[in-house]
Amino acid sequence: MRLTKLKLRWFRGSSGEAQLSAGKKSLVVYGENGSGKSSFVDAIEYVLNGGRIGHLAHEYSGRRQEKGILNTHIPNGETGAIQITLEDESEITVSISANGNFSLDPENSEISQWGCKHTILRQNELADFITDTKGGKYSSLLPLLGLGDLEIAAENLRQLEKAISDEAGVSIKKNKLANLKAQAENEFGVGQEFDSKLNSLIKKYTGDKKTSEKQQNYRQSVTAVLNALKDRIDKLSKEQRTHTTLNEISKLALKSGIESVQNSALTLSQFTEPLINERLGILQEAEKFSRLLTLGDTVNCPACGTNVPVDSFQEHVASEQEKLKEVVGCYRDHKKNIQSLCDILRDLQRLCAKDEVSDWGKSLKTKDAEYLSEINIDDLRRNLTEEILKRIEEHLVPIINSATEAAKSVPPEIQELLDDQKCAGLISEIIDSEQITEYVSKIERLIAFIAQLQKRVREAIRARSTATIGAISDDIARMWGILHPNEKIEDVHLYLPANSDKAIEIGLKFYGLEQPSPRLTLSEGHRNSLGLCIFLSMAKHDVEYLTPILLDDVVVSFDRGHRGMVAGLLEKEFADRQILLFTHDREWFIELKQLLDSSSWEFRALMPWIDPTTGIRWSEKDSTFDDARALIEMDPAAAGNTARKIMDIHLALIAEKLAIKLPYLHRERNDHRMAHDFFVRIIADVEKCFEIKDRDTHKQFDSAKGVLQDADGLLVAWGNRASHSFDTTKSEALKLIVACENALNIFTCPSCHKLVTKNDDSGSKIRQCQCGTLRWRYGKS
Amino acid sequence: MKSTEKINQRDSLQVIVDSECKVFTDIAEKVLSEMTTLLNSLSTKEMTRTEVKTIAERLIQYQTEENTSESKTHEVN
Repeated sequence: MRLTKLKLRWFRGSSGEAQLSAGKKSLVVYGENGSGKSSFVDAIEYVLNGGRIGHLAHEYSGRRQEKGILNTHIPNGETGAIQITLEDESEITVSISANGNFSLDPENSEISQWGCKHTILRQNELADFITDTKGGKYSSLLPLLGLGDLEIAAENLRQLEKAISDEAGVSIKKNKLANLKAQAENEFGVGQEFDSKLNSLIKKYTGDKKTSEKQQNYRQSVTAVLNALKDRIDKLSKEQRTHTTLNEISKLALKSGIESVQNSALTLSQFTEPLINERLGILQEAEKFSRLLTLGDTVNCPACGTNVPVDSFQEHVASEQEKLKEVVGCYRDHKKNIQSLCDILRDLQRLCAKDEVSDWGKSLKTKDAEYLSEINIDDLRRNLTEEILKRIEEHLVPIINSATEAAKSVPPEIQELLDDQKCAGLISEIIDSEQITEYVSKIERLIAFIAQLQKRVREAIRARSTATIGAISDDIARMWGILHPNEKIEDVHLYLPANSDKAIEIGLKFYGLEQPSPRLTLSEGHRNSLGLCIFLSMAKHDVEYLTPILLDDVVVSFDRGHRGMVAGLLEKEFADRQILLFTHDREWFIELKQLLDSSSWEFRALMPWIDPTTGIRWSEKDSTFDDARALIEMDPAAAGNTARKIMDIHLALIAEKLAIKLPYLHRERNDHRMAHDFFVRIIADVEKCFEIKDRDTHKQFDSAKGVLQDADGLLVAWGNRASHSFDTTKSEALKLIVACENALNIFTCPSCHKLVTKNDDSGSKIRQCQCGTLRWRYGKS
Repeated sequence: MKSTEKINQRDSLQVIVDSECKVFTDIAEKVLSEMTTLLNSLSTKEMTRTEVKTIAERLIQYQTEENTSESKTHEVN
């Protein structure tokens, strides 16, 4: 889909109205710095990004970037506007009010689906892909991989696997089973079953013969044993029951309960819950904010205060959130430990209150016994301070110790009862654990199933990604080859790093050696060049909408040689796409005018910026002489000097194409010719070489020489004076500009309006325009 | 994304679920049926924690309430 018109009103550099008309062609726009070229690029980005421009995401632009989006001198009551017309004549209109609110009409148009990342490339973004993380590269390519659905499915399956494990409490149950196994090994021996022990208990307490080995009979048997034991214990005398209760008290894990609480309190000692919640809230907002920031800036993290580069800010925020989640986890563990401790204290209160231990209770210290009877367990559950913990340790641990000591003097027959009860209890737990084991096994199978689904989905993603990035890599390598022919930096490609999901990296060969990243060996210029190739390759693969491609001053860091290759690259690879190219490089603009096919490309120039109220202005010509004209009033000498520089560039290109022979000059002077140097030789050859068609025959182009001589004369007289003595009048500057324009127009065919340098008939040694009316016989020079 | 591409991915997902369902014979029928039903939502958007928890609870219930086959198991590393 091509863009035919882009109208701006009070948007960025535009005032009342500024319109960019591309027809359905590609377009090169020249404008010196500050003339407003990027306002057009900003407009497209604004629409694609739902009302935001990346480079305006900072603290000064306002909540909706209204201070940067609208012209600073927008009259009161006026609104900003953008109107885009596409080749199917559909229109998209955006209205922007003074507070930055904007409305889009229609709300759902095709343009809303255009991906900004594959439509617009700015000079400072060239190397972004290269310097991005592996995950960032993957995210950039994800829309092109077309695997969004599979990625979502893989992530959902990953979450599901984790949730099943958490909800089923698999790890807790497995820990319990492991503890039980350890106890069983301790009790019965490693690898030994409890059958013989159970049989002996059955015989001892129920008088039954040994049970069969069916599971349900195990349960019945051990229940019968436990019941029999309970009966016997219940029938014990008070004195005998004292021992059983003291035994229970001694088994309470009060000390370890206190230690657990102390340890978890220590972990949390530097945080408080309000602070945790506050920081989590700040981080959530910071993470949203970070998406709006411009790469290259640094940000002061609002949560921890660290100064962090923007491109790693999101990772930093995620890491801070993880840390706080860990702390919140510790906090929850601490709560659990407190609850466990309170349960132990409640059991202690209950056991110590039993009648059978009342005599023993009288042996305790009064303060300890009083403390135990008075503590409010419910209060402790809500508020257990370090002070209270100390008092619990001080008063209640001695009670446990006393019970432990007293339990040592238990008569052997009671001890045997207690041991058998413990053993039967263990056997009962082991029998019950069969169900837990089965449960865990089923859940583990379920988890394995979900994990396998995720694995298969990831494999499918990888396989498809490999195919797509292979195709993109082919394009990158080819484009790189066009920009850097015969250079020993080759085999540039994207690859999926092994053992990493959601990651892509760039590899290449540097003078025969494999390099895992271009950051190791490429210069900045080469990295930018590679960034351009990658962007163009990705744009090429974004075939759903075939959007226009906007390139904003992307060759700034390229040297002349490589810059010259870009035109060939665009013509060869993007003949079927609309390119909107913006540049402040006059020399490159002039070069592109000569290199690019004018049937597919238009060339426009912006006039120099004056003030916000005047706004963006187009030159009526596609030359850059308006830069010079704009200076006449203020500085005629500068106007003349600018005109000379323009002629230096134009004539250099024309002379090259027309194979003008120039005498060799020593060293740098040979590469830095002035317009006059070219004029001398061109004028010398013009009568022999320059022909124009009159009816059916070509004849000498008589008027050309005079026009060229006029321009050359004025350049020598005033152009050089403008450069060296700054002594040129306004009328002289204007006359010089007009003469230079006329001289350049001489090389343009009056019929087809193409340059005489357009076509080369090397057999006849003729350069001619498209229709053949105008020609230069360079073989005659 | 083109609708054909979406359908293509959905088909891939279907193939994966179907083939793994045949391999994991010790998974409850209700679980397999639920996963097939979930295919659409699995690939449409990232599920919220609540949604994931609800589905997990349901799958656990189905897997543990049903007597699954004890004969063949597929050893997956």
